[in-house]
Amino acid sequence: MPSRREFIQAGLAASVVPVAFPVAESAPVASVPHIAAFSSHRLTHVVCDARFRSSQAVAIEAARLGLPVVSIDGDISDFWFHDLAPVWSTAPHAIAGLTAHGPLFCLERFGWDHGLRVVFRGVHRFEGDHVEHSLSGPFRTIAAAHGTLVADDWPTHLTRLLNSCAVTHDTASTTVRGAVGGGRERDSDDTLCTLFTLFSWVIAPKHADPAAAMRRS
Amino acid sequence: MAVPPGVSTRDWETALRQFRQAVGESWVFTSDDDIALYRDAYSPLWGEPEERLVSAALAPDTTEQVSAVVRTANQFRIPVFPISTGKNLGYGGSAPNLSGSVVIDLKRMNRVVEVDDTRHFAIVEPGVAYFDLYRHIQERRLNVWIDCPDPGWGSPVGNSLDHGVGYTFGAYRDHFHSHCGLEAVLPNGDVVRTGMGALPGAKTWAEYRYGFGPTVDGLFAQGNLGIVTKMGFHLLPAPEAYQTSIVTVPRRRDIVPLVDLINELEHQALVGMPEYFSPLGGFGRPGPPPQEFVALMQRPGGPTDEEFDRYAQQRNAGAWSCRLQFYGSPKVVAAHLEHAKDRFAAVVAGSTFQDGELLRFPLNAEQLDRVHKVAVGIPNMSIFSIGARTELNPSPSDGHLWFSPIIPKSGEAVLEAQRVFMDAFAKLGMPSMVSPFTMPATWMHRAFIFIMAFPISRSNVAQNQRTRTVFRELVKVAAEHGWGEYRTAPVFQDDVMAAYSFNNHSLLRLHEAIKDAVDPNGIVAAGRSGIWPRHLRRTRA
Repeated sequence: MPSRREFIQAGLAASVVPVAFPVAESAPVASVPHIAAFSSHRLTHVVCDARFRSSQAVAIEAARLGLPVVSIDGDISDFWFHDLAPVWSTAPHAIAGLTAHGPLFCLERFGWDHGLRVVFRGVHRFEGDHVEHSLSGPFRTIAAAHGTLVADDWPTHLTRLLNSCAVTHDTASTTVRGAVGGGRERDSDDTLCTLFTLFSWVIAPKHADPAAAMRRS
Repeated sequence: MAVPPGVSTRDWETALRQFRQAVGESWVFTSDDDIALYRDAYSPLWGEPEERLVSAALAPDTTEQVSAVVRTANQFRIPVFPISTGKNLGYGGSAPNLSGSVVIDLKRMNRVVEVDDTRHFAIVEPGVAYFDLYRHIQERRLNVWIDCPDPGWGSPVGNSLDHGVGYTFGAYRDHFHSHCGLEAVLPNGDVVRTGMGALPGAKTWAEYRYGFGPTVDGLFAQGNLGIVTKMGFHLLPAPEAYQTSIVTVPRRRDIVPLVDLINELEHQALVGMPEYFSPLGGFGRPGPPPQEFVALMQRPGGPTDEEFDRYAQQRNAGAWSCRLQFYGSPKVVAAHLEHAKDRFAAVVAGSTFQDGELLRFPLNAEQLDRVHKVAVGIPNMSIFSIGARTELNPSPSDGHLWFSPIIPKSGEAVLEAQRVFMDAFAKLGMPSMVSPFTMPATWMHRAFIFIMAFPISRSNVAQNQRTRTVFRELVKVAAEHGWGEYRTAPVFQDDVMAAYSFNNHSLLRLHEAIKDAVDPNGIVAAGRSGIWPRHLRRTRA
């Protein structure tokens, strides 16, 4: 188990100012040219739940971005035992994903044991032909999300948000209502699913130093 | 910053300094962000004033550090609550009985001290998870199996000390029963080893559990006399093969010989954990129950056995089934399976068997994907891949609470428990969690656990309050029929201990006498299993 001191660096931004953005049903897709200038968590894995088309879309975009993609079917056992536990036991790094609740519940708690926390959390409630995205996380990431998740290609934009999750300690939240994306979800009997919830998340070292992250990126 | 109950701010600050000196500054947690991690994720009191919360946590790395921490806690009368990996979900998680306690988080004590695959034992520290022990065994290609519960992130030490259970063979799945010797730090900071561990240089710590004189190990299980820092466990020698076979009996009353025969097979060590179910389903299956079944249940006086049997025949299904599990060499598996079939053929007319595939170890990837992993000693997290929000489950719970009474291992007891609990739910005016097809869990190899899961909400306080009321009522109903819970969350531990009331609660009086002698300041796990230290005994309701 790494020392917590390894994650405590000088010069942390100490202020935490939760900011809530208003609900937006439609807005022009926002480009955030300054994202690249900010430090972001480097992801060692992007976890996708293969049961859900939206999550499959995240996997496609993550692969396009050159990120290592892990595909699960709701069960994190093999990922944890063979991939993540050995990595986190020596050098906990950030991971992200779009999954059902169970994988997030498990990975978040495994993360606690290794000095990591959920630094970005999205709840995506599918209800019929629309989806409500409730996001909380770093101010800059939430600001970048504003307006990008309303169209049906939201999983693609979500992936980019996860990949650029800012290393800061300020937080904000927003709720966005948009179209169902990634194709309509169907269960194993090919029955249309209209009522379910997915969760997007970034789990990262809780005392990551923005300056150090900037130097690495 | 929260201060533990009964402790002055000045003493608390002094104690914190001493804690930091003992374990290192990095490993004392007092921030709101850190101590929030020790909330019980499945607390039936979530967000209410009575929710059990901690004041701080600290994570020692060695028995010596635990001893130093306990001495400081005793000096300032600071209540402490030890946890191992803190994953006791459904039974309290990592939250204490007494709010304001300081959690002693033993996750850093994660050494596998020894594993022997010719004498078949392991000695581990409390921070070792089932995953860790399994990895240790696999990496060294040792010829032993672990027995683990559903989520593999728990601790063999922590799980066994809460009388936790698993899935493989015989007594191995009663985890405290399969322990052998332990080391504990007493409330005065003294370190004791039990069994053969008390004899310096003995190599039989994890082989022979009694040592000499009275066996005190049980006082540390669901107890509060000390902090366990090492435990030995007997391990199952790795079998060559595994096979299941489902036996089905046609009639409702066949449950009696079904259970009797399987008891005979299991107690002769011919089968592993039996898994009972009914082909007629009942609760837990997707969708509403069939109309025909609803009509049957609504008949005045309830359905007769003959009506149940007719219902089963019309569905071309038996009344009861049991998945039998066989372990051993292929010859042994075949012989035991043949014997089981012979016994059933002689006793239960119309019984049938459906054999599964004979699996030889090591399993290939496709077999690993299909097999019930915990039945073959493989820890995993698959239990968390169920319960998501869907059309059939539009408002999934945020967790669950286990109600788990022990009933006799007989078919008659199962039918009685079904009837009693269905009546109880009807009187409580709520949908029954029990049906005429509900079967008990068989984790304990010498008793049935008639287990039910109550949903927990993080947003609906009224629902949680109602759940607690119903739970307490069911504890009483169970006790009236001679059934007591084997394990429960801190919020109900007083209620459950009160049910074990023989001779004016003489058992609790004995526990309290021992507690007063060994922990006069009452610092360790106050209230665990309803055993409160003297100074808190006077004030509790």
